[in-house]
Amino acid sequence: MSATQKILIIGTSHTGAFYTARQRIKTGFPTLEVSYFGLPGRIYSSASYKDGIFRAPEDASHQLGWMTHNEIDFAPFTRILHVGERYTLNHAMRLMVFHDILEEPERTKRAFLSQAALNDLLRGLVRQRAEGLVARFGPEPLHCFLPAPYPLARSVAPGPGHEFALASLRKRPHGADWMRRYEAMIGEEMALVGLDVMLQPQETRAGQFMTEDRYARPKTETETEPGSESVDHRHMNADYGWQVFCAFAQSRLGLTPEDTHALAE
Amino acid sequence: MGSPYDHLPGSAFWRSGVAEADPTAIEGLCAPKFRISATDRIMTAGSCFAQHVHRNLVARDWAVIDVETPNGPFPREVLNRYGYALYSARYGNIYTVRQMVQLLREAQGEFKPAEPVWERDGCYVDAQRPNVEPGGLATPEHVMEARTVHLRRVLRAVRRADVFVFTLGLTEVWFHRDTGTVYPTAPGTLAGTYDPEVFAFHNFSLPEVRDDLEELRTRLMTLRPDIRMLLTVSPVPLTATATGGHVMPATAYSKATLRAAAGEVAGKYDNVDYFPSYELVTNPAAGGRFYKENLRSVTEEGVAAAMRMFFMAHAPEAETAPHVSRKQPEDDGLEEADLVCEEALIEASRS
Repeated sequence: MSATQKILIIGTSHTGAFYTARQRIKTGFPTLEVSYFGLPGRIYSSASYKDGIFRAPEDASHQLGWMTHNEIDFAPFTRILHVGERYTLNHAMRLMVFHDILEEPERTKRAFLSQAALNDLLRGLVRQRAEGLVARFGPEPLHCFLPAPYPLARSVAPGPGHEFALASLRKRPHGADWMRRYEAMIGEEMALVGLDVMLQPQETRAGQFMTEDRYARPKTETETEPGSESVDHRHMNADYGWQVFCAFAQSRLGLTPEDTHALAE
Repeated sequence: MGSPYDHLPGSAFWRSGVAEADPTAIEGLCAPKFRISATDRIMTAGSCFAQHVHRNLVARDWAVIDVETPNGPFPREVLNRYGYALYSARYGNIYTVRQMVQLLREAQGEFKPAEPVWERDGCYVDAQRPNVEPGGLATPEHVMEARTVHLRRVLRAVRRADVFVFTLGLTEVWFHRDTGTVYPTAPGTLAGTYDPEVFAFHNFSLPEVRDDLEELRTRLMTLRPDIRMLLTVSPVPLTATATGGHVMPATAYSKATLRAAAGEVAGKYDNVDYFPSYELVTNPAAGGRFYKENLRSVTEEGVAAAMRMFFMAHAPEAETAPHVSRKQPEDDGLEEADLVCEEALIEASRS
């Protein structure tokens, strides 16, 4: 039997998808002891990291119901999965949406941007974030960064939670190609600063830059639904957490889930 | 009978006004004709030094117009490399008043520059702003398409402006012999090919600069009747002169001509003022401390002194209150050396 590995999943509210899948993760990966540490985005951003201790601001502790402490020591963990970095996705998409690219054939009377400028501006956005992450956590090879999931495919429909940039970009012929380049830049820039990044697994995606609707959290599609919560097209459910954790375990730990039949729901 | 100088203030005398004054804060040096406030919409243009003005106004959260820079937390260094966030529109450095007038004429549909696209290493650049696409564009058509949109944005910027801040940089210019089209750089330097049959050198005279300033004012007021103009002269000496003479007298001629023209026009119109940043930076009492080792580039201290003078003159309440800036220009780690200046590139290309 393999020795137990201690894994930490830490990040913004997107850690919720993993936390809700914790029982499946525990059953599917009995050799892993997984801890979860999640904070709302703004609190996560303002948390400190010093001498291996990640600490939320005192006045912001216990913001998530399942959190029992406001700091965590990274030392005991063999791998740490950081969840929720967006790499300024919205700004990247808006840059592509609000400009016609000179070298692309489509013309919509928007301002022009050259391919070179678009490329360098996108890379500049990503580089800033990568440099910010390495400045915060150091070039630690045990850390793996998973971007926040792309919004759900349903979010492009008009209504609450409508993702304007996403909806506009998918109508533009160059959208998917430039999103591929943007993702490639994330990998390249993270590698340059010595950090590991795992992009959202393709099997969870709808197209190039949306998430399949089956990963929606229950009762978050409309406000009129009985018992509905707020409309949410950005945070995913336990299936997503499970699926992505499997991808992480396979690619970073060389593990596959045990007895997948028993795990099927 | 006393002398007419008997009752003049200390600022009227060289010893008390300059030699014994703190060169970073000279009292009475800037006496604005009109106040500019943080809510006035300001359009900036001109030579390299104007980039400092633009950046510092933005850093103080003044209402600086920017009609072309993409919104978002893009690194300033990347934006600047492509001519964004340097001025109110993406026109790059405009060294001569004639070029500014020509830009407005073109935007108003009255003029088409000759030889508008220059070739560089198999790529194409806009001859009127050769630095905004550092790698060039793949076709001349792309250059012209981008220029068409740019010209519309220039007009938009003027029509929004309450104040037009313009830094006069040079009197020396290269122009197209047949049409009079002027260019910000000599053909063959950053792009294009120098053909003496097509292009020629000219050094503007005082009446020419003065007339160009008059035309600039007229054109701006046609687009925006209530606009006010604030003129400055760049304290940055010439990198090189094409006059055939020594660069030092060429610089003196250029700056003296620009300074005199700005002074004359400012003295003539209520809606034109002159801001003495040139005098502050070149002040002999500063002992050259406002220049870097190359004796051309202005130090951060020099820029800070000039901008302090500006803010003290136009918004003293804000300047003396505890300063809370939402955007610090130094936050992005840039220094003066990051400013985009074709002249520096010319120098680099010669090294």
